[in-house]
Amino acid sequence: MVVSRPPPSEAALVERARRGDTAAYEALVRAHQDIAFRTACLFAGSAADAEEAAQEALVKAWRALPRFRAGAPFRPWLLAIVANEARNRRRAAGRRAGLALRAATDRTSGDAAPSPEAALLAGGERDALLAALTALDERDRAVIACRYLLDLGERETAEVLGCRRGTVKSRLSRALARMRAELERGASEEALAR
Amino acid sequence: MTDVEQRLAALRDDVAWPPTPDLATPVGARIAAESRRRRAPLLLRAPALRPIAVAALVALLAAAALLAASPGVRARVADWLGVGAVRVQRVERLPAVAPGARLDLGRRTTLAAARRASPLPVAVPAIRALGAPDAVYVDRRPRTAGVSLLYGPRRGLPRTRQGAGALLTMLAGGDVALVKKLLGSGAGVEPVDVSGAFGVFVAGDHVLEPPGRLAGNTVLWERDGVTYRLESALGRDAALRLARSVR
Repeated sequence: MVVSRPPPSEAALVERARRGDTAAYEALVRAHQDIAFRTACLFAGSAADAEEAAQEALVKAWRALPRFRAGAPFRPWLLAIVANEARNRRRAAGRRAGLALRAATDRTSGDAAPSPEAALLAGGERDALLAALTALDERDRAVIACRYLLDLGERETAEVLGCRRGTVKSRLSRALARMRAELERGASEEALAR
Repeated sequence: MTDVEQRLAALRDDVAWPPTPDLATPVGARIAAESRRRRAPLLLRAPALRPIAVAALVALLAAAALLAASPGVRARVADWLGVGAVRVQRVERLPAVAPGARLDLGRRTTLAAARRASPLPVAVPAIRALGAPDAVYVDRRPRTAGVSLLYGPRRGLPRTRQGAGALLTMLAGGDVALVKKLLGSGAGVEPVDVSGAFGVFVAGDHVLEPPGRLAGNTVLWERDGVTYRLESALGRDAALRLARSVR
């Protein structure tokens, strides 16, 4: 019987990286690079800026590892550093707006099948939702995007936004109300245009 | 969950995020270079002492090279020498390589694209004395990750065996012995100082592994976690002038 060794757990990789194991840290980056890049996209001005910010933030996180609290969840800590770097770079460059999000147009046959919920959303509705999201201010857009588009939990969202969990709840509730109003305004404008 | 929340959750799979670039390779190369710098002897780490330390090292190795010229001592002294990620090794007999072995530099790209997504831990430089390169390659394979700049032959830059004028390859990350230079009896090694960085000049034909091809005169040096390899058909002094103009 062949017994294969299970892959090291994230906690084991973090511990090895804290002791200076660069290969362990590279494995952690590989595991989280998708979510790290998308987080950077939410705060950076362009995809190229997001890539630079994410790369720089991941190197800074390596330098900060000795200060990482052993046993704490790794991903929110990492994403907070990424979000901070992307936000600071965009502000330093004097850009106000973050990267505009777009809906995927056509799914190629190689893509993963959409979730049943996503399959219910018509193309026009997706665009209207993203337009309403883009029209919100940065704080509202960030809290909605973290919770729904990146699927982060409340605690992770709080770390990324640098606020308390309670603040995430209240900010999210206000942001959703504004989004609802934005959607209604868009719908009535569309009806008038017909 | 309200209606808006449900629709937002449904939107998750339909956002056209820009494709995620490979972050792990360049980050891995940068932190490996930082770790190596932290492990470097104190004498070589202090910026003020570095040029003096390099000059002393060059003088010491030059003396060793002189000693090595006497047949009795020669056998052991210059057996091997590590410069950054390259191991220079004396061998009795060079391995057989195909005469037309390809340069195998990775994927061709533009200088701007290589600078945007480089596997190097530093900004991609150029050979100032030669201007813009004629072709740029990025290699993302773990052992040979780096960037290569290829310059065509021109006046004052004679053609090498591979048809190039000059080839500057910068290797990122990794410890010594990622790449080997195998020297037969026809090749000489001389320690040199490349703008304060320790390096060697390899004169004559030798074998580069990987990819397993014959190479000619080469200046080899290491700075800030990047190993530089400049191959040309130029002699020592002219080759060093080019190497010192890499910025």
